[in-house]
Amino acid sequence: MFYLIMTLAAGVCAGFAGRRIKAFSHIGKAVSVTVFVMLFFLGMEIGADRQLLENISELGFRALVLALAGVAGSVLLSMVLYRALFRKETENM
Amino acid sequence: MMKGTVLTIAVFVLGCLAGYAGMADMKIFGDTVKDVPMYLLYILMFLVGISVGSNPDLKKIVKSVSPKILLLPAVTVLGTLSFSAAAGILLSGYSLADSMAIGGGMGYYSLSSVLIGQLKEASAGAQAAAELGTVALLTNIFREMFTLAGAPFLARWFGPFAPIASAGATAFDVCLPVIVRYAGCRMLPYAIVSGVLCDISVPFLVSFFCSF
Repeated sequence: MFYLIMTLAAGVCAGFAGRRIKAFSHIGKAVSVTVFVMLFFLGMEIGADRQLLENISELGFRALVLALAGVAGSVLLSMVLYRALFRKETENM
Repeated sequence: MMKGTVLTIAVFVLGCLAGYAGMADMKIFGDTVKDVPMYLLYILMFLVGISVGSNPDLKKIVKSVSPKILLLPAVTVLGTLSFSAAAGILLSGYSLADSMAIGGGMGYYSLSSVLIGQLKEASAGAQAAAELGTVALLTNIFREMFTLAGAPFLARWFGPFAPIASAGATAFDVCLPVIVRYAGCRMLPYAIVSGVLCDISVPFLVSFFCSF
């Protein structure tokens, strides 16, 4: 965990130091490729796990509840924030 | 749905099929292959760091941003985490930290799912980690789909910040078109600042909540 955050921080520093390097503007593609390879591995673990596959509808339900909760929480707070501090000034724009 | 989402699901399903067919049993390759996802995780974190550090908009955002605008991503993250924790209590079986790690994906489903799947392996075991990773993938895909479909209602009923908050990390890419369309052009800077900051916070949030 500590080493992971340090790796991330090292990346941020390297990225900032080399922000004029042209290749870095395509780094998003390298991230995508790495994520896809890891997703494939994650999928492989799940596919090999018969017990998990049997529970997939329950997992989907959990995901739906968590997704709705995340949306509801952020939307409600954003509404409070907008009404309290932003409504007047943005309506005149 | 966007091309990226389709591609993500396709790769994931392909992996599932390979696993189902028995390819996950990689004993024939020896122990080195087993650790590949862990090495990939470090490579991924380094690459994500570079993309954050070299982001050409980073300076612009830091400079042009009034401190007030930062409140939007702050409440977006706060609202997501607190309600995810509450949902985690309702859904027995998940710890608060697990639910918050899933919510902390902020809609960035690809990164959050692989991070959780890998980070929880040491503490929760491979099976539970894969399950959490799958739920994180689905949760954050649902969040994106819900925002894309619900943006007009969110904007009308809960104000122009609502679709930006709902989009989370996707406010500056996938969900930006619907935000601008239904919340108005004046929301563009808010959407970009909020989306970029949520996006940057994902690896920190997820690895933080996975450490419990």
